[in-house]
Amino acid sequence: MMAVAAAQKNREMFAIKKSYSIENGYPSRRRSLVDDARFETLVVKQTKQTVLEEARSKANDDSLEDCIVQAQEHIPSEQDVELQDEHANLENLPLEEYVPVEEDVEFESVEQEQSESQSQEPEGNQQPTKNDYGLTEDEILLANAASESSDAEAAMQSAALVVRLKEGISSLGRILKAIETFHGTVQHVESRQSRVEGVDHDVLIKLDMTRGNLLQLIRSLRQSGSFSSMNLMADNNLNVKAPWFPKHASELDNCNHLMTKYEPDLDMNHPGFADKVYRQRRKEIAEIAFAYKYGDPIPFIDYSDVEVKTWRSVFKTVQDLAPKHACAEYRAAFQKLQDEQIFVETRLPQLQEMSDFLRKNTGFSLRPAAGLLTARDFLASLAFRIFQSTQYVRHVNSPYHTPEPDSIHELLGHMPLLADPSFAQFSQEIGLASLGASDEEIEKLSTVYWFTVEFGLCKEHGQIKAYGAGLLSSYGELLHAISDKCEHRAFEPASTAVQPYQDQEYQPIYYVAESFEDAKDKFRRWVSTMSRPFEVRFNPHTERVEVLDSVDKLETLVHQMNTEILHLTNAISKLRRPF
Amino acid sequence: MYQRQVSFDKPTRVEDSAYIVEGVDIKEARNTCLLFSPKDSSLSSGALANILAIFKKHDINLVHIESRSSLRVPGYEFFVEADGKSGALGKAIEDVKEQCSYFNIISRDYKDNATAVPWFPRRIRDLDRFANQILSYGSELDADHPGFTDPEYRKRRKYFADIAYNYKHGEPLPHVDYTKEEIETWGIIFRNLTKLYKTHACREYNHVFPLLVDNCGFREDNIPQLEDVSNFLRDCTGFTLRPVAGLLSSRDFLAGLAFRVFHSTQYIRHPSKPMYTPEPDVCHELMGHVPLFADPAFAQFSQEIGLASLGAPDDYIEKLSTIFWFTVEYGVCRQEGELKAYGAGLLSSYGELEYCLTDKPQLKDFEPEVTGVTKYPITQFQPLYYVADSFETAKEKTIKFANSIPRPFGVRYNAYTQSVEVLDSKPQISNLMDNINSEFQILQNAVAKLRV
Repeated sequence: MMAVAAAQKNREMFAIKKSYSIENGYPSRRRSLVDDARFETLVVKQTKQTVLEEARSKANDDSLEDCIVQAQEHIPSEQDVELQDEHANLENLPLEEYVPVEEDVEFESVEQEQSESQSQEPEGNQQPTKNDYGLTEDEILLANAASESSDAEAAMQSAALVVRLKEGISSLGRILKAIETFHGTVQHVESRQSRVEGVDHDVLIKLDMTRGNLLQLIRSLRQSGSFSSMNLMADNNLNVKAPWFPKHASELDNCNHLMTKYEPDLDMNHPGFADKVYRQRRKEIAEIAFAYKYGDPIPFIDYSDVEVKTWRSVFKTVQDLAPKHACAEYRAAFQKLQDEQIFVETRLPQLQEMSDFLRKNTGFSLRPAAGLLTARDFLASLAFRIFQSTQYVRHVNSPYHTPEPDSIHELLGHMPLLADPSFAQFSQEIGLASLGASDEEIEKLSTVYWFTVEFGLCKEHGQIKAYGAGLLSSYGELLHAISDKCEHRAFEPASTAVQPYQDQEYQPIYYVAESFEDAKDKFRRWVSTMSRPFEVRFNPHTERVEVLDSVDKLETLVHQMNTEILHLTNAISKLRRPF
Repeated sequence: MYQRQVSFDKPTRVEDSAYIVEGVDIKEARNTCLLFSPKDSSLSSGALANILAIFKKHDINLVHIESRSSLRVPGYEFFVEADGKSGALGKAIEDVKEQCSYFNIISRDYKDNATAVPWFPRRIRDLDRFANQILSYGSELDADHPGFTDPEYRKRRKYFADIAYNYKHGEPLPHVDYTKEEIETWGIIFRNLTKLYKTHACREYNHVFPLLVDNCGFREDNIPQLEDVSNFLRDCTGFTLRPVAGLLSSRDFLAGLAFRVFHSTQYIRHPSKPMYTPEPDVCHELMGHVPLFADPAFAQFSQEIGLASLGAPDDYIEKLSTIFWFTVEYGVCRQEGELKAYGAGLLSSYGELEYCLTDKPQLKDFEPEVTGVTKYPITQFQPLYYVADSFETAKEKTIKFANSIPRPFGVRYNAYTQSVEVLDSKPQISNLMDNINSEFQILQNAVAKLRV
């Protein structure tokens, strides 16, 4: 669909490109999902401004030519209108004759002046080339989508416009006439009282029109002063300016934007900086992940003896500490992984066998990642119960510390708890909350993720236990977190989300969850206060995210819930009845 | 207490019924599965050793043993699969039960033990275990079959049977090179049926059918590949297809539905009689069944019939098969005041599709308790059709009917892990309640944000 293409274009234009850190000199030396999110916010904002300014500048250069073309096109079919406007001109100007061409140009200029004065824009001069059309994101996205090919421009697409009328519904007639002029077909018109001050009505117009003509229509309508604003909606009533997000698991192939701000050959302090073999190894493994597509089996990595040795060191340490300090869910999953011979000290587990294990327990599965993803892409994957995992191994000279998450951190830290149903759902909730969220909200979600999934503690029979992956794969921080040297606070999403954090040393503050269920409830209530104008739900049958923004879709959800409640009723009556 | 039924060495069709009595000579079918938690449930203790000693003492041959964290009681539970024909299993079970805090029996040969529950698959991969237990019309054809005297046709049937025999869950569905003659047979049926669909098929069918034309190559000069159709269905409702060589037992076929798996044949009826087939062929499966499995409400309804069958005793399997017959195969519904067909047997049979909407047959409202005990003919048009108000109401009625099935647990399908969860203890019901609570909060948030 056109709107989907436009939204996708939005994503492509503004998203961070690969290895963006090199180009922009990201200063931080340590991985942090929160800093990643903030950095991403800044870069997206700058990129968007640059693109918009360039597009507007280009549009101004073409404006005079457009005026002439439009004037010539419209004169034959609107003789009466022309005469009436001409009469209006005579009232405002001295009695003076113009040659036809000059008259046409003047006509258009006068119209523009009227439009601008009603829009209360400061530029009021009569020189067309200096007028700023103030192109909106809608138009730029449409123009980019239409310019992909002549077929794209001529493609008939469904669209929905929401127009705010200043002068009452009677001015709707002019809109409909304009749509007809651009060969559009109106499918549905619906109006309601507007909640915005100074605007009489909001009108929803659903129409079919070619992409190119739709762009022209929007430009034409924007020049009129009768409308205070206008939005182009996507098929499912999502504003195309809202961030794009994947709707099916296969679309995660587009969610591989890397931060990779910290690579061995970029920093003299990296443990692998001087090791050519290690750097080459990192490159090989990164290439594997770049080539991965949804549905492929995860490629087998033939880990070297040195890599296995590194794994053994960390594995043994975690094996020693987990029984005392890890939460019950982690201990149970760890034991399971050992029983199934996935966790053994003699070899590094393969992502594919780990993915199969997770799928069997919670439906989570893995994708190989070439490095550090942007926060938005990483969180989006969780919505589909997909965890993007690296496959490289930290340097052998520093087995108990890694400047970026490696496969040991992922395998020992994250994987066991993803096999726990309650924790898996909590992770997915964070992912679902990120879809279509604003940049500011992505930052908050990243912070919540940091203080829970990465560095979270929980209560267990009155004792503090660790469940965060950063703790469970780092024995130094684990011991620190359990000790009296740091502060423990109760997990409350609203305050946790804005808590400054430490990524140079051990955390000074850790948040303690009462239980995963409790954390889930609190998180869900907090998410409902976010600005996203719709709710989303994941359909595990089809691996698709459904946007719940209409009564029909809610009815489907209600039917599903009714089914579950009937099952619950059946199960309870079985318990009560002696067999 | 159950009446002991007659056992057959080979699978046998009951006279005038689609129900098949399973044979007992198939090796897999003889195994009994036990699920239990020792009172001393630590994995490292001697509890398991003691229990294994009991099996040895009674000369029981164990086929499989698996330990896992128990959801019911603290510690571990064990899943043991035993050869049901070896030793004195009944006595061994009595002895083991005394040492356990939890005990359950799942067996296909359960008639000697009143408390036993029939074996049923827990994971989608378990469907591999009975897929080759074909009951009739496999590569062997009856003397009165239209293709019996055609060696080329019988050879072709063996080709299809071999494909299905070798299939395992997770593999792509094998590509079939249909012959020119087979495609012509398909074309005849396709042309005739597509004339009737607009006026005779239900709304949901007519919505999906054009999508199949666009996405899966449904044309009169092309027989679609199961793999393409399966991928399409998975995207729509999560249903997938499995190739099967012939007619499965009712129990096994319905079990597949519980996992949103439909067992589909790939062979085609004999070209000498294109308007008649004695068994389900690819025309019946693809033009009859497939379109509606792409409808979410119908998919859910079908799955509920499958879930109801898991662990159900034989007489209820027969009832569920009859319900399936009068709904998924020969169901009629009322839409905007008009009767429309939704059953696959109707939608793939030109003659019966016309007949079922005339004044000749009798119509009754669909009520599972009544429908499940209705007799019906197999080799002629139905004299009676059941009318569903909607797929939603049919689903609700079926779930409530499932509650009357005498088994000591509820079941629920977990789409994340593609497994069936047995709901027979408080923790599992708590999990289900958490899930409902989560859905309710999503609903609450969505309504709050709806622009009205």
